[in-house]
Amino acid sequence: MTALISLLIGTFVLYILFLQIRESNELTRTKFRFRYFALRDRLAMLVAAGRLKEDSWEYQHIVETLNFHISAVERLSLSRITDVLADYHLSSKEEQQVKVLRNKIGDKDVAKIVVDYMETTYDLINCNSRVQIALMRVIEQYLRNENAPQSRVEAIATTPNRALSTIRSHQNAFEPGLAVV
Amino acid sequence: MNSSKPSKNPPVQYGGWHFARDFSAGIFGLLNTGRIFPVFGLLLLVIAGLVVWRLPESDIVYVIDSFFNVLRSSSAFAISLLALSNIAWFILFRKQKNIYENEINRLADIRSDLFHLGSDQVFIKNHRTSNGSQAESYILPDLDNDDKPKDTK
Repeated sequence: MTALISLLIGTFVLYILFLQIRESNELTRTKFRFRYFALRDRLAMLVAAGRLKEDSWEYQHIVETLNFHISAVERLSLSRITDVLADYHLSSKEEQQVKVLRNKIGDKDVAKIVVDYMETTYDLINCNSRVQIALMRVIEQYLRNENAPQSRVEAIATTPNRALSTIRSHQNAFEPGLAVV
Repeated sequence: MNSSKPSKNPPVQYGGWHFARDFSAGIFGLLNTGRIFPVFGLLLLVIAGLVVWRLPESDIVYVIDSFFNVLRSSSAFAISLLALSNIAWFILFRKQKNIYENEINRLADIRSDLFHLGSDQVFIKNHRTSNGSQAESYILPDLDNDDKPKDTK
């Protein structure tokens, strides 16, 4: 009987934990939605101040991208967002196109918005997969120390981990543009 | 990291490490979405598996007995869980308050900035929001369709 009561209490505790994780996820989604809103507003303020044209491709592309991310954050679960955005940022097109974008953006503030957008997405993916990525890094380090075959080390690389590396490298590509006055 | 490189390599045979990676990703997926009960069920299955396949028969009674002893005799553990749960709710609500306050302050700042733009202000003609269906749109220009008008909302 005591064991049964203990199990019931345990089930209740797990339910509380479930509620807390759900609320925490909801809050995280809200936080990142607001961060994307802020980026979109910063861009719109550049247009309002006459520093960027509304029909310029920079404005249209960046707003579309931000809207896609906002929409993803609004509609999908947090783990699904991580998957979608990780796939999105690992797409094969991006590598060559980063250079094009970097050359096209002339305004320092627009470049800063792009960098901040990447930072926000990085934080979003990292926020949901932090423990998972940390665990995989520990295992990866252990395998390297044990001189395990490279194929085995690569096998444990998770999608979020690769996406974070890609976003960081793209972000670094824009850093020189921030120095332009 | 170059994302295009892995796709050019020949397909790697799916092995135990790949399974371990995908399995752990699945477990983290369950935890991240708050699906605690399946994880707990899996944990019980693992314990049951260990008991059935690994332990000598003489130790099974001891293990099961110890497990229920932990559950039934630890009122301090239950009280700690209650305290931790309350602290977690407190942190959650404080975080929520901060997030909404920051957003309100940000919007107030924007309003203030718009008031002071004066006659130089340019009005945005097309309102673009995240409502409606959002096509996957890259921050980087599509080189093939760069000149085509975009269907934005």
